[in-house]
Order: sequence, then C-alpha cells, then structure tokens
Amino acid sequence: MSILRTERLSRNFGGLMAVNNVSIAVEAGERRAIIGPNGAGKTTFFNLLSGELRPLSGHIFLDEREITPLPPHQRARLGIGRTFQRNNLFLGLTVYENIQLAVQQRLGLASRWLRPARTFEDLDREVVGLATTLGLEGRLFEPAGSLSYGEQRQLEIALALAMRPRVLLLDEPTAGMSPAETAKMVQMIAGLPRDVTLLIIEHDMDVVFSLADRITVLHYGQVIADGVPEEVKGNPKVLEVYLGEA
Amino acid sequence: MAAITSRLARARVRLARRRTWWLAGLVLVALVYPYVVRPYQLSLAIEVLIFAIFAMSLDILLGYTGLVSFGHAAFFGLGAYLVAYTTLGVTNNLLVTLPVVVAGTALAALVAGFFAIRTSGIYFLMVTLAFAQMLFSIAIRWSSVTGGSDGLSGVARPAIGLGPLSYTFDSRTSFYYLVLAFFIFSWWFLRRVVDSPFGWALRGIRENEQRMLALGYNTFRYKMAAFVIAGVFAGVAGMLLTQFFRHAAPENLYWTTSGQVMIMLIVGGTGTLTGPVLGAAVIRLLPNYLSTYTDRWQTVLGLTFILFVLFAPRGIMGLWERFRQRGENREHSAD
Repeated sequence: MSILRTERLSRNFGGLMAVNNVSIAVEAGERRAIIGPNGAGKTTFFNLLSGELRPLSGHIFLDEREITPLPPHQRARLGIGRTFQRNNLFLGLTVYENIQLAVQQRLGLASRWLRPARTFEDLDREVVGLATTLGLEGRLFEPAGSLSYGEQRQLEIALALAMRPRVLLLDEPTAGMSPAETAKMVQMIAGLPRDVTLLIIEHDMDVVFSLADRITVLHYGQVIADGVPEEVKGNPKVLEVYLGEA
Repeated sequence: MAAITSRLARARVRLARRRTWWLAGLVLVALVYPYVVRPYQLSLAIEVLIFAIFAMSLDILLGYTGLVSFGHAAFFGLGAYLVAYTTLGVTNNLLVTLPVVVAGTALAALVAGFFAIRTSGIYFLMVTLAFAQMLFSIAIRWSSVTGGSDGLSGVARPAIGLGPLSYTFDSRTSFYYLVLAFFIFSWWFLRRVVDSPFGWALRGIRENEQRMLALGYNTFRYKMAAFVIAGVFAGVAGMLLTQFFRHAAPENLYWTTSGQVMIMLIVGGTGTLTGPVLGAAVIRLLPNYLSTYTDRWQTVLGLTFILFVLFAPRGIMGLWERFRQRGENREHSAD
C-alpha cells in the first residue's frame, strides 16, 4: 500500500499549467527523487502536497485517506513534514528556540500556557539532541539570522526532522552548499531511519543517484518518466529533456 | 554538550537570583511609597500602574504576536463601562464586578478577534480601529445607558466582601495597594504566559506564520487566545481607572487612547513586558513635569516619540540592552 498517492493532480498559474495531471504513488519507506528542469513544477507539486497551495483538480491521499481539502497545519499533524527551497526560519529567534517550536508542537506541549518552557525537561533534551545530530550544538544560542547559509540549511532540516514526520518533503536540501557540506548532508539524509518516507527535489545528479530508490521526472508539469534510477537514466525522453534535442 | 547545558543552567540561576533581589527591592519601595510621598504623587503612581497593565496587555498582541492593533482602547473602555454600569446598578463588590469585566471583555475579544484575525497587517489595524470607534459611537449615542458624552459618574470605589465581612478601598492609599496587587499579578501572570511554550508559539507567529503552519500549528487559535488575553487585561485596567476617578468616560474608548498606549509600547520597547511598564511611566509622568516649564509640553512629547522611532526603535529596553552590552565588551577587553 502506498503511503502517499496523488491522482490526476493539477494546478495552474493563470494560463500556465504548473502541475498537469500528475499521478504518482510512493511506498512507505521509499526514497523518491523528483527531478526535472527549472520550471518543471517540482516545488509547486510540493506545495500542493503540503497544502500551501490548493489544487485546481485532482486528489491527494495519505495512507489512502483523502487529504486534499485539509489546510497545511492539519497535514503537518498527520505526518507530512517539509523543508523549503529558500530557507524559511524564525530569523529573530535563536537556533534553540527555532528547534523548540518544532519539538514542543510534536510533544503536544504547545498549548501549555502557564508553565515556563525551559522547565519541560524532555523538551530541552530533544532540542539539544537534534541540534547535535545536525551539527549545530555550538550555535544553539545564536539568532538563526546570524548563521551561515549552510548552517541555516541544516536548521531548516532540523525543524522538519523535529516533527518526526512520516513523509518528509525535502526541497533542494543541498542547494547553495559547498561540496563538503553537501557530502555531510547526503550522509545525514541517507542515515535517516526507513520509517521516514522521503521525497526529494534535487538538481545535483550525484545526490539523486546516491539517495533515490525511484525517480520521477517532471517536465512542463507532466510526468515524463517514473522508475528505478537505471530505467530513468536510459529513458530517451529524459535524455532529450536534459540534453536538448539532438 | 553537558558542559554547555550546565554552564547555561548556572548562568540562569545567577541571573534569576539577581533578578529576585531587584524585584524584592522594587516591591519594598512600592509598599512604603504611599507613606513618603504627597497625595498628588500617589495619584500619579496609581495612574502609571493602571496604564502599565494596559500597555503590557497590548504588548502580548503587538510585541509578542506581531498583531498591530490600533483599537485596544475598545477593551479598556469596555471594562470601564462594564464596571461603572455594574457598580451603579448592582454592587461595587469586586467579587461581582471583576468577573463581569473579565467575562464581558473576553466575550467581546472573541467576537472582535473572530473577524479581525482573518486579516493581517494594515487591514488588521483598520478592523481593530473600526471596532473601537464603533463602541465609541455607541457610548456617545446611546445616552440612556452610557450617559452619552458625559459618561457615567458617581462610580463607587470597589469593595471586597463576603456576607457580613466587607472592606472598601475608599481611601487613596488603600486603592493604591489594590492597584499594586493587580499590577503585580498581571506582571507575574503575563510573564508566565510569554515564557511558556504557548508564549514562544506567539513569537513564532510574529517571526514567520507560514512556517508555524508547516510545523502543524493552528495559528488562528493561538492568535485568538492572544487577542482574548490582551483584551481581558486591558479591560481590567479600564476597570481600575474608572474606580479610581469614579467615572467612565467615552474618551476611554477613543482612538487617541489606543494611540497613547501604542506610544507607551514604542517608547518602552515592544516584546519585553518590562518596556511597556517603563513607557507607561514616561508617557504619563512627562507631561506633569514638562507642563511646569512649558505650555508646549505636547510638542515635547511628540518630539520625544519621533526621536525614539528614529534613533531607538527598540525603545528604552533596547537602549538599556545596548548600554549593558557595551559594558560587557569593555569588561571582556579588560581581561
């Protein structure tokens, strides 16, 4: 049974079909890469999955339950976590406070309103633990806005992981990172437990081939190929899109 | 890692201890204050404490949640009229009037918030302003109930009593202690709120609401809760002012009142709770001292405000922070 499935999902911007009749099914535990040239509709597709955008038509199922009409925060609670292509953090708050916001929500503490946050020991332990996993333990009390781009990228992932999502949407996790940072990030993602299903938008083909079980190729909003990496590599349509018409 | 955490814990304890001493000292000063000043200065202190509660309540919305309300006088004035009406018609017993004010302002905040919170930015500002002006025009027009432009006069000072036991806060000194108790409770309570996970969620909404949604927060509910808390404390402040002057006036609902409390926040420093208290003191006291020197004290007040906006946008608290950091840097370089 697939954990995440879309059925003829479409979304337009004016007259442009950014996502056009996309039907995919992702198995639980799978690592799925979504690739395609710029403007292929990859990020729009993610925004439809997380609820930031409403589809023009089509359906989205999580565990075969339809989630199409649900707003983003309800999808997040059902287990869809995401990172953003452009860092989307709480820049005025510290690294600790950023992660705290994600962790306290999952622990069900967010509506506790009369007890100081720092007195919840499990909250503190998890925040420090996550920061350590992502290599941010030395920057815990720096404002997120003062971190380097690569560190902000790591914090972006930390926020998503703090939710313990069942499906994690990673939108270009290594974009703008140095080769060394990229290698570390790939290692971290590869080491995630298999109970997290991953969908990754990525331009770096080395990253794609080292992580993905299956690859979906989008072009002008449509799926032009879908399969295991070897199949996709040899697909003539994909070669045409990436290398131009010969 | 353990080293970082334990060092942090020690620093927190040290800071908390220093803060406890400070607070104990301040409370002591506040307790003996009525016996060392003239009645006029006692009245000023009462006003400052009441406006400090009002300003702290707006800080929950504006400073912590990032919701710029330009109609906070609605709840201040509503609290004023509710207590005046109840006192004149039923009783001055706080055990009755306080619940009426709290329930009434909470209900009004739920209704106003339900509409206002669907909007944001300048639209939120306009909707809250419109709500307050609507209450103002009701207060002016519906004179059989509200006393029209005269307001409601002859409101007795509050009493607290159960059965035959009763105490009335009739004298200025006893009323001062009542206001002080309300102020300390409000400061403590709102401090608990902003330090709680809920309080951090409010800051998260201020910083980046979209990300809060992606983390699974139903931000509408959090903003509603902040709106209601802010409305109730503003109502309590309005109640105290009415009991002090024995009078509820339509000006309590007017947009200039909303503007004045916003200026207190900006001068004191938003998102700090302590800043609004300082801002309330400056804005209420400055005219008294200035007016002995010049008739143009409002010009001076206006200039002060403009200078703060231009050169110290984080208010008195921001200036203090900068001053302290400079001191620390000097200490470090001396090492």
